[in-house]
Amino acid sequence: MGGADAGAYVRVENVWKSYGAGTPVIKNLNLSVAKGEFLTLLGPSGSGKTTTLMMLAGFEQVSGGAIVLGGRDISSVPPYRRGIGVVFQSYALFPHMTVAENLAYPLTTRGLGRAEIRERVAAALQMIRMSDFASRYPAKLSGGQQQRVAVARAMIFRPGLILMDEPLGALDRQLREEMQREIKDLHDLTGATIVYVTHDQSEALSMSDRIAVFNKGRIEQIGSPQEVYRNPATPFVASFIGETNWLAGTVVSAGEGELKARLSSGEEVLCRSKDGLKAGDEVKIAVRPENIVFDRAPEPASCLKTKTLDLTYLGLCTRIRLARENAGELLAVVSQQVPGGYAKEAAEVWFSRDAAIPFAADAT
Amino acid sequence: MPSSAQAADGPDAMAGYSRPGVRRLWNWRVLLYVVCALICVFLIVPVLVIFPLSFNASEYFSFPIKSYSLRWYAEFFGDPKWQAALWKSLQIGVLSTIVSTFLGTAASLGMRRLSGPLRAGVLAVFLAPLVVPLVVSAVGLFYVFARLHLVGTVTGIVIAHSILAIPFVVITVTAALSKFDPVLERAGLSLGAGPVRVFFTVTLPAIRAGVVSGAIFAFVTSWDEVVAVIFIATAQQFTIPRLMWSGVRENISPTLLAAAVVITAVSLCLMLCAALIRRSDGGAER
Amino acid sequence: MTSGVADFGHVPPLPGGQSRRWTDYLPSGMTLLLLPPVLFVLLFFVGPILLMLSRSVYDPEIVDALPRSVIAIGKWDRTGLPDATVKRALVEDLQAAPADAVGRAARRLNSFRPGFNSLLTKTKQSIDDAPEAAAGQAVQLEEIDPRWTDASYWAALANNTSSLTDAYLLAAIDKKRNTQGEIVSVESSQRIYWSIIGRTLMISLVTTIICLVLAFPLAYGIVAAGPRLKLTLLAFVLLPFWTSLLVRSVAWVVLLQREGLVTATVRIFDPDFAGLALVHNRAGVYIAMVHTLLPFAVLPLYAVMGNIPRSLAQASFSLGARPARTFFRVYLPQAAPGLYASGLLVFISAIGYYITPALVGGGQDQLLSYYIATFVNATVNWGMAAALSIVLILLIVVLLLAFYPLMRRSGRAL
Ligand SMILES: Nc1ncnc2c1ncn2[C@@H]1O[C@H](COP(=O)(O)OP(=O)(O)O)[C@@H](O)[C@H]1O
Ligand SMILES: [Mg+2]
Repeated sequence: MGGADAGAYVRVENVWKSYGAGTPVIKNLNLSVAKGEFLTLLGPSGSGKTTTLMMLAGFEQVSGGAIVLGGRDISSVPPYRRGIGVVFQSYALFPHMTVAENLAYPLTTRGLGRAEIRERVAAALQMIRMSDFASRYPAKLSGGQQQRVAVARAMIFRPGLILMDEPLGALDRQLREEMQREIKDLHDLTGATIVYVTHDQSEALSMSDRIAVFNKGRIEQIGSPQEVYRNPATPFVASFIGETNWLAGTVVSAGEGELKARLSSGEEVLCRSKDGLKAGDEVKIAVRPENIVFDRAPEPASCLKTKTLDLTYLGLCTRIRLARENAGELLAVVSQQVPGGYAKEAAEVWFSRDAAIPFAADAT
Repeated sequence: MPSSAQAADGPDAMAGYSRPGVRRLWNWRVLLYVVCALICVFLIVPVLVIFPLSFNASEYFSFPIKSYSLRWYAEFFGDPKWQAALWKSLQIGVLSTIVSTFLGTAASLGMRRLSGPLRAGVLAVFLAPLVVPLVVSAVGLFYVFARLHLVGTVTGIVIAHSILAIPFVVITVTAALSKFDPVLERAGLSLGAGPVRVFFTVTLPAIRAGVVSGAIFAFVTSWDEVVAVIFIATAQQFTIPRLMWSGVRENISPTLLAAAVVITAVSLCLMLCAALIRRSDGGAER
Repeated sequence: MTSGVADFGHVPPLPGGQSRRWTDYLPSGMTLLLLPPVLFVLLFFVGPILLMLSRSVYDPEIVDALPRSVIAIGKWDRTGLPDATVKRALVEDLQAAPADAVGRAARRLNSFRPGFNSLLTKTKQSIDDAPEAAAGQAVQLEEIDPRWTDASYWAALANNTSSLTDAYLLAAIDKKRNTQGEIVSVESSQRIYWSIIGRTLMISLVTTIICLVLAFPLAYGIVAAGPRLKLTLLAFVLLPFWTSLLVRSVAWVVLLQREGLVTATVRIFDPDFAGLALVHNRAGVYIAMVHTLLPFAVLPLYAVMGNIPRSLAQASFSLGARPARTFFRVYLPQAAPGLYASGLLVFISAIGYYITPALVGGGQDQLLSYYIATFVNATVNWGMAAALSIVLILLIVVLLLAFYPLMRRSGRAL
């Protein structure tokens, strides 16, 4: 977070947005995207992702701040002069034009010659492997095919920046994963800068160079998928991305790179240090389910006494619901074959110090 | 169609719905369609009856018809009075279609951004000619046209017919716009086309079926209209319906029925086209 | 996928750069496009109708022709005859006003006091011809025509001293102002408008009821039919719907007249049949009006009924309700919005009917529109035409206000 990087390709600087006289839906947004980067805006529905994207595209005016593209302030440039490609969630293919006509549209508006347009449309069709569908109308295409045409149409005029608003939201799971890979391939191939919106965290984790996590019109954290997953900056990020167990307690001592906390159940646990937390502070500690293990974790580690409630076998892994003594439930996910021993009534579980992330109890 | 197998707990829970119940429903169905058939006969006979009568060789509407001939059509197409009326009707119909299609389409497009009571109010103004009795509209126009020297002019009748036709254009185009996804316009803008280009390459083609069927309704409205013409036209501006109107009040000649067949055939063909256009357009979407 | 294919090559940047074109200033959503159609409708529909309706209360013809008289007679106490100043004012007015203006005022006054037309025109004639006028001597009105000694003529003038008048609106509901200026009913022999209003409502109501009774089974039949039959039945509804109202009315005249097809058909079975005239009477009006309006009743009903899920009736049956109960308790409430919509549409259309009753009906079967048309075409009485138009529009507004919420409410309740 903080100020936008001056050398970036796209810079969103101190942008505010409110619709009419209402409360702002985007509050002081700062964001920079490097050339060729794949940035994902991730957040719950209503957090302002679409609004941000529409301001980048030029369909919504910023209420304050500036949007800079390639060193030029485009905040008041109309959308058709920005030269930014947009893939809409509903694809927005023109129903009265064939696939080829849809693809030719942005080239026609730029006044290219007939022969050149034909050539480029053919190349684009070949790239999305739809050469046989050139004269079909969109209504006669499957969802995946429409999606590919929409992506190709947004890329065919070689925009420096391409915006995608939940482009895979309408597809079923299997097709979605296939299309994720294709979009990534296209990104690698063309070197375009892509800002991608989704509320699906697994999509964000698998596709992005960096993820910006949105909540209530603000960015909670920007970082690589590993960063936002392993080092969530706020409890919101920790809860929103992946699953998290929350342990409530009080800081006992704050040492070098380490905090010791006493949980409300009386057990003492070790966790990472965090600026601003000192002895006596109320904390909540996030522990990912896959970091809860039944063998003794590598030191330094902490131990909790639990009872096994039930196991859900999911093939790739097994989810185990555990009950702590007088202190709620825990979720553990183990990927190995579950040994018979896990199914016993009482269990001691461990997690290492670095897997436990403390936050002030009143942080969100 | 009582399918009650699961619902019936006890053996006698649905006693009334064994075979006799089904039989009774079936009888109701026969009765229903007999009634429907009678109503349909009532609906269609007056439309159909003019066709054979207009081909009747005899001057009297005698039934059964003994011999058929085209003499009344020859009379219709040969009589300069009917010819002039035919051209007047066509001229007025085409002009009012152009005027009302432009204005009605502009109205629908202009209302897109409006919402709430404002939109309802504006829409009510455009649809009002459907609710206000024809005679009141015609008399109002006559009152003002008399002062504007528009009585007895083609302009006057075209204005009147445009007013009566605008509601139909507004209805069909607004319906087409309500099915139109405005994201398509954003897509056009994002691909580098300016607002004007987007309108002509994206919006207009998408609502084309609505505009065309609105235009057809507009033409048929003018083509059939007689009340406004009664007030605003003079003897030089007699349209076919106006000639028929004065003809019926004297005595109904077979030539008049030939004219009725001609205007009915034109109306029915056009309305059928409009229905087919809407149907094929609805089909293309899915 | 090779990188060679993927490379789209150079595409020129968009023209225009930072500078703006006029299209950049187009208002979003093109709301400005409303301007021409709104102006057109205001100028050629709303405006003319309001102007015409204003003639029901605004009547300048008497004041324009006789400006001095209407001021002078304002001081008259309506007992006995007006004094000499009033008569002098009238003579001056008649000397000054052109003959056609006096004629218009005379016709207008005649509608309040029959005989006034001839009285005033004759007086004007005499004054113009009389040598005294040129000599500036006093004109004796009573000598020109003894009717000037009849106070009822003066009362008619006294009742119309303003350009604003309620006389037409009162006349439209069979009221008038008496010589004292009080509102009273007109003599029973001249009470016609209430009965015309009542007849208009009655014919519309009966037509609506018959239409609904016929439309319900037909709409139900269309909904319940298979695809082929459905299309056929719809064609039977749409073909007449698409046929010109005038043509259908003419067809009914042909069918119903004394030597028409109905008679001819009966003669096939009974050669001695004398012939039955169904035209120029009430029966013919009902038949033709029901026929022309039935599609308006069927189509909204069909739309609503088509959306009633079959599962509701099935659920009702499965819960043990018999067909009659299912119909009245489950189906009919669901169809109610359609019945209201159809009924409203038919009634509002019927109430303004002109062509069909004029062709098929007799003198006693005409609706309000006919009288409006007659006042404009035959007697050129804009005041009465406007007043009856107001009555007609009021009836429609009241109906809309009464039934539209009902329709919406029952539609929402679903
Ligand atoms: N056109 C609009 N007018 C008013 N409020 C809007 C409009 N579009 C979005 N909003 C509001 O702005 C907030 C952010 O919306 P959006 O950007 O669509 O969120 P997201 O795409 O993350 O789901 C929401 O609270 C939404 O209700
Ligand atoms: Mg969104």
